[in-house]
Amino acid sequence: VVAVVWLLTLAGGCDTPRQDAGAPGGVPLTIGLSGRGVALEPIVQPLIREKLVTTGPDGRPAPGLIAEWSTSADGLTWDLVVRADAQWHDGTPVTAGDVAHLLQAQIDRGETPAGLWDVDRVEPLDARTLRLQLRAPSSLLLEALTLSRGLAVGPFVDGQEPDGDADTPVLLLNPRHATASAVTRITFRHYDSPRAAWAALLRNDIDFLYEVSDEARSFLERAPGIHVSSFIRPYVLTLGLNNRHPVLRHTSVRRALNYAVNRQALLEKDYGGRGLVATGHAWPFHWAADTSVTPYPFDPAEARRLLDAAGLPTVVRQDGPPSRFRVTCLVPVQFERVARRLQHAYAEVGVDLHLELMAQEDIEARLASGTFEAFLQPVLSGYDRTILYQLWSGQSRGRFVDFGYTAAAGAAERMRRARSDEDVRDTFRAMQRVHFDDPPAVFLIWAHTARAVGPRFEVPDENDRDILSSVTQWRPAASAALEAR
Amino acid sequence: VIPITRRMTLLITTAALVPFVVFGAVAWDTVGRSTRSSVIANHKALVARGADAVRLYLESSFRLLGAAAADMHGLGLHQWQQERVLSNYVVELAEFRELALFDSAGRVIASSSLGPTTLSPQMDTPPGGRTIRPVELDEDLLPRTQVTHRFRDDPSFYLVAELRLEELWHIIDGIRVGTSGYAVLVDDSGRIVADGSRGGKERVARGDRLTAHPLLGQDDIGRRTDALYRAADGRDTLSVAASVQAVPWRLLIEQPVHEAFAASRHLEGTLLLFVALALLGNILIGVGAGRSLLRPISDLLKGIDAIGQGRLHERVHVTRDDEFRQLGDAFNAMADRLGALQQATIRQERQAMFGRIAAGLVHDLSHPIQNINNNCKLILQMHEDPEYRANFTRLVKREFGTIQRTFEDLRNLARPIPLERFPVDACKLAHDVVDRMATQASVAGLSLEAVTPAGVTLHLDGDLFALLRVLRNLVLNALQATAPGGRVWVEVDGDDQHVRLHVRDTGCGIPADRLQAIFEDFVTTKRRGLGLGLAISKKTVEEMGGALRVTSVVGAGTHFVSEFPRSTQPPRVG
Repeated sequence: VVAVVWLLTLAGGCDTPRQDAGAPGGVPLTIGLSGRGVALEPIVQPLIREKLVTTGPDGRPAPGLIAEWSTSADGLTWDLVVRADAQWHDGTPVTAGDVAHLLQAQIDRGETPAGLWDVDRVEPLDARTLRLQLRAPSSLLLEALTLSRGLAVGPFVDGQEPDGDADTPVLLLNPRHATASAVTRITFRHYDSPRAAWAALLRNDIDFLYEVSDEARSFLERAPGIHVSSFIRPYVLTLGLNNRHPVLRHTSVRRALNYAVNRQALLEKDYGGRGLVATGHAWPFHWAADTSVTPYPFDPAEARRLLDAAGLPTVVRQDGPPSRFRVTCLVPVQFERVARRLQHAYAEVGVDLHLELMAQEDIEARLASGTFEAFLQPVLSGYDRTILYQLWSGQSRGRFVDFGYTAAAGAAERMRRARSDEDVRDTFRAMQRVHFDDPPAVFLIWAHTARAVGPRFEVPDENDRDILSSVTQWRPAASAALEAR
Repeated sequence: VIPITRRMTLLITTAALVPFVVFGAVAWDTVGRSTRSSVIANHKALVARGADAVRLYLESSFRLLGAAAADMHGLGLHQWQQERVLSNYVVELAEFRELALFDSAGRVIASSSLGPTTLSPQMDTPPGGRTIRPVELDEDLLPRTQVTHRFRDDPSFYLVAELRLEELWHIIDGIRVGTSGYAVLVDDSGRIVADGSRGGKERVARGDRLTAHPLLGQDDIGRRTDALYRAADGRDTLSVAASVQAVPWRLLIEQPVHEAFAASRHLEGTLLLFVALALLGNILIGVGAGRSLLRPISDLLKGIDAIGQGRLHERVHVTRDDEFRQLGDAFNAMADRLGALQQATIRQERQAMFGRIAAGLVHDLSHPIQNINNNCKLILQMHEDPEYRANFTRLVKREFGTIQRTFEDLRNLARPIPLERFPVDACKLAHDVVDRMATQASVAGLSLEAVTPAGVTLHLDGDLFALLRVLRNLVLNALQATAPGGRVWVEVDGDDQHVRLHVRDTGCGIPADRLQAIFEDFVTTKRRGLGLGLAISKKTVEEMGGALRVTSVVGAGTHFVSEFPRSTQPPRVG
């Protein structure tokens, strides 16, 4: 979440969405959010904007607003062609100049995705073609375009009143959008807890629950008319470690912390078995990923051995359990139960994981300031390699959490400069190996993210994909069916 | 009149049907009652098991709470240790959402929650005991309840747990009856704690209460355990209830009546079908058996009817070997005898008729022949006398006329003359006959006259010569039956529809016992004659569409009337 907010902020262009109207009336959709600090940008922006280049779950780029691209033999010149039918919300055609302006504005801000760091010049060649001149070749250029906010040509426009609450934006259907969407107005409602949010869905107070907690999933799946779909998001639940911590800086300690956790049990008990045990931070479904990499086995004895070898004997403490060392872990409320389980697991090997419950926004501030020892929350990986590079390249630029970890810097840099698919595959796998041999954190689970749609809508079957991405295809439930429900 | 066969069939089928109908009604009622009772009993057993499962779950939670209290008591644990113990329970056990330890002042000592606790102890909990708070809606608008466990050995400590009531949803969801039956768990205020129906989670999340449920009225709790009522969705519903021990909650099982009693209805339907088929079979067997049994009677009736109609050759055929066969044989024997008697009677009649014809012919013909014979002998002597010759001629002519009429009657009887019908003036006919017979009446010393209405023309459709023959015959009979000095007259009258010709006399009359037989062949009241005249006359009148009737008073006279339809056509000219 932190990463997305950060990325969207840095990728935010100076482009001003040209809009003139939202469609009045129609079928409203109310989205419920589990928690006050839930970032709205990841939800709102895909509805308003369209990305320049998209990427699928295998990490390969696919056309978006940019329909075609080509590069010179030396990899320093990229020509991008804008899709012919792309239009702003007011119907004006999107030109290469618009895209060039967007990219140039991001570059000028200096906080662009890594793929744009090497861009020297952006210039439109004609109405639909623009050229990017690079100082050095980068295999992350197209990925950078997927991370750009894109242009405001999506199916919805911002319908927020000037004096409206920023936490509850209003989206209106763009009447010129080609898709005949039944949903013409989208509003948001925050709830204090996941439980309150799914209870609201049961009461039909909301139509869509953005994140379904595991405890509620079985109830919602059995509730008449509620459609639950899930997919694995590119977020890995991570016990993040500050590698500058005097104890955590040791590789053997971090390896011991990885051995001490029974990831499979965690997945079974707290996620109902829905998800995937993590082997590292790299997206496991990337086309270049080494699928033979196995997660750290649950081996408390090995963990104890490594900690003993690191010279960390168990000592009795007045303010806590006997332990080898103590780490304070920042925990958002929805992960309290997982944190407790980790606390017990680490207590078994003599590590005192002190839990500090904290609001999401406070955790983000702490991570941004680097004032943390450990944290527990999902960390963005993305479907491709940019986040992997930015987090572990050792460069402060574009890094939304500073783990103080530099072991993978070389591999990350080689990955950035890869010139062929073979290079990409080798460097990607090198990153995986480094993260296994010298883990910067404890990567736990790629959990399924569940969304739930209430009985007022009929939705296409979108398992393994975010159901919200098909919102323009949702249809109001037939009144008879609604009555039956 | 209902035929005996049908009555017998009705009797047989009714005798068989009534017990079946009674049996069907009693069985219907018994099956319906017993299956419904069985369904309700099964539902009660199910709801009792469900309530027991809820009780076991709650008591298990209470025991776990007691175990947590035992883990924390008397071991001198530090606060962090107490928190770890409590969080261990919360993390590992789905029963608790939160646990917290309180001192006697209600201050939190340790909590499983990393944040501030929302729990509070119920201070009036007895030492070693526990209390459970009424269900309330929490900040998430879902039902929650807290259980306070007070330490027995150190009553200044309270361990409070918030139960994860959603776990009960799984238990309640698991209670299914048929395809639509479900369970609902409510607290003592009727608030829904768990609801296994479709949309039941919505009701829980809305904080709904079942306030109008027939099994949840204050007066009914613990008393009524089943009810049939119209649910909010408009369906007739069977509801059974059981109290959950350990908490003041009730578990209800609800099922639409049509589904709950489907087996009962199926049984009733099967029984109805069986009874209906049995009744139908009974009726068919009764009708068949009745007809078979009574067929000989029907045959006998037909035979009797045939005999009555004169078909003495008809016989009944009874193939069965029982009393009906004896009856049939007796009937056939009787018919045989009747046939023989009829043949004998016919022979006797024929012989008698021949005798009468012979006697009549001898009688009718011998007198004129004798007269002619006598006069022929005298003519040899008196042929010179012109007066005698004239008398002889008149006598011979008269006697030959008599002989000729006798032969005409016989010929007419054997081969009737075809009639040709034309409009005939009845009055003229009467005068014509009187004129022709006036001489004979005068010779007999009788007065003969025609009485016809003046100024009225009455026509009838008839054969003029046949009518003359009929009237002449009637007048001649009257002249012969009337003593000298008497009177004979022919009278004509009529109306819009009919024309009547009356022949009346003041003669000796006909006895009443012979009156009906005078129109039969060869029946006569006279000393002479074959007795064919009236029979032929009646037959002739009837062939012309009329009727010939007679009334007579012995010593006063006889009155013949022949009545014809009045003709609407004008008479033929010429």
